[in-house]
Amino acid sequence: MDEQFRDGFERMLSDVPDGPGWDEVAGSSMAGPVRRSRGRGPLVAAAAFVATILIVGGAVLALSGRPASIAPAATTVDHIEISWAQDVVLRCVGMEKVDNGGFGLAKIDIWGPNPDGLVRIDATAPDGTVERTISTYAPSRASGRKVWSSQGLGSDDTVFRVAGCFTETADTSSHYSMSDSPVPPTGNPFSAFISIPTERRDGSPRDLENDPSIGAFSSDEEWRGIPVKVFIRTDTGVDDMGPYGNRSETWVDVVNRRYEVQRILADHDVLGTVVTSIEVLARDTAPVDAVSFSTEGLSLTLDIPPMDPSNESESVTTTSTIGSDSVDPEAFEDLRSLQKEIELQQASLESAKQELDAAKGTIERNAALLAALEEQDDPPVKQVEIDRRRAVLRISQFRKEYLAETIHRTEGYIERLVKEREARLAAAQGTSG
Amino acid sequence: MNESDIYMSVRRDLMRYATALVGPDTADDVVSSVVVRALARPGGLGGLREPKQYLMKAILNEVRSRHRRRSQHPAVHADTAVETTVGSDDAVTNVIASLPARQRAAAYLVFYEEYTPSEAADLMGCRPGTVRRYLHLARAKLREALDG
Repeated sequence: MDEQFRDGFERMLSDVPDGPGWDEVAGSSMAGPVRRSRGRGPLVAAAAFVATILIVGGAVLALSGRPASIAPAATTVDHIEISWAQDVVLRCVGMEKVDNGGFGLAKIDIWGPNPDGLVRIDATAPDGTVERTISTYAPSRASGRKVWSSQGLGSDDTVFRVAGCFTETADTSSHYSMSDSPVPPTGNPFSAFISIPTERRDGSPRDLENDPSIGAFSSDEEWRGIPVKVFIRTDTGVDDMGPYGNRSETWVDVVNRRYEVQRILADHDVLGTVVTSIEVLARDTAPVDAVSFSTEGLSLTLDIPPMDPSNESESVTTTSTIGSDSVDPEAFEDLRSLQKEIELQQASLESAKQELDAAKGTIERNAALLAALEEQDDPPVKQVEIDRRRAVLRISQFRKEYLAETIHRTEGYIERLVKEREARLAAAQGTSG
Repeated sequence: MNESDIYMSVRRDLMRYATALVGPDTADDVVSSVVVRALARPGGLGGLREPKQYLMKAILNEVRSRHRRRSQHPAVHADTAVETTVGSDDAVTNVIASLPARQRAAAYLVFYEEYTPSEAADLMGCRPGTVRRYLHLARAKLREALDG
């Protein structure tokens, strides 16, 4: 088989032209990239010159004409450059394959948030095409959210690879997304790399460095400053989704107080395989007026109204750190430090139990929302929201399991601590008696 | 080695690669485009650590880019259409001609140029596993054509 290919190429390449001479390419290079054989060099160069004038002029006009969305010159915003690569193998057993054949590579730049709470994400394809989203990151989840995008909602409008499996029966149809544009028109997971000031529901501040769609990061105080490795595994059981159950694994290497490399692996037994690799290439700051946050020319592609707090369904994220095991109870020097540790662990246990209850509540609420969404008939917005809810459910389920395991281990640890305390008390009484 | 020497030392390889991907009539236009762009880079060809590898990657990107433009705007880009057939009665060459650009590139690099999948992956800007998948798909297509 391989020899047949080689022979086939031999036959195809029996008469390879010499190719352009050095003088031809060297001469053309003076006038910019041209189609040499068609004599368009001057025309292309002139068009490039005019385009440059228009772009520069437009940028100047844009910067001078947007006082409302541009912060003072002294302000800087975070800037992060990321390489993104996505390999997709579609299996789609018994289903139709849907694939736009787009790019699986991108360079992604993220700027923000600016003083208006906007985050801009540019994804540059290998052919130079740039797709952009500008999103509001409201201080509170209940405040709603807006996204402006250079793409529409249709998957054909992106140059990046959008692929999945499609199935249709007499009374229903389903689309299982396998890969998506790095800048989906409904928002962007890479915003997770930017530190965004937000508030908890009680109004207290926190850094939101998480997004369920990227693999679940906890608030940064749980890992910042600690050179740990984070390993997250989610496993949606086949009990829930039958053959469409999936597994995803995330590794985060935290170096220099930042996660520097992240890999997401999703393995779909029936649908296919997606492997996404993300690497942070650079991290710095940029003057805010060097980056336009203008939404002019972009389409409003997501507009979530403020939530009714009484009906809020929160997204839950989680982190599992590989840290040291609990300390040996015998290591505590005296009864006082031992008692202090017992109280600390009991408080931690109580907190974990409360979080577990909250996670169960989130699962129930999102399951109900998902069921209601699946009964509606409003594609494609419906599918976006269904995917989001499924992601929340997967992560919530993992969080529930993680908390249950944490509670189990903490209870065991407290039990050992109490035994140690009792032994020391007994020894002290024996000595005094 | 000056830029002219660099170019002339790799021209034959580039032309063979481009011909394998788009056929002889368009190959020199593809090679010309990528070399002109490389010369316009800061440092030009002399600034490239691996000029041949760089230009081969650029050729594949150029071919895919042309194919994309053609599929999006067939009327506008009719004059730059990429050849997808070689007009042969030979079943093998017709299968090769019908392969998508990346599968064809992987087959050419591994089966004809005898690069390893890892080396081909470097030249294609993807992972070795991806090259192996392309080869698998290409083999399957040939098998189907020969069996049918």
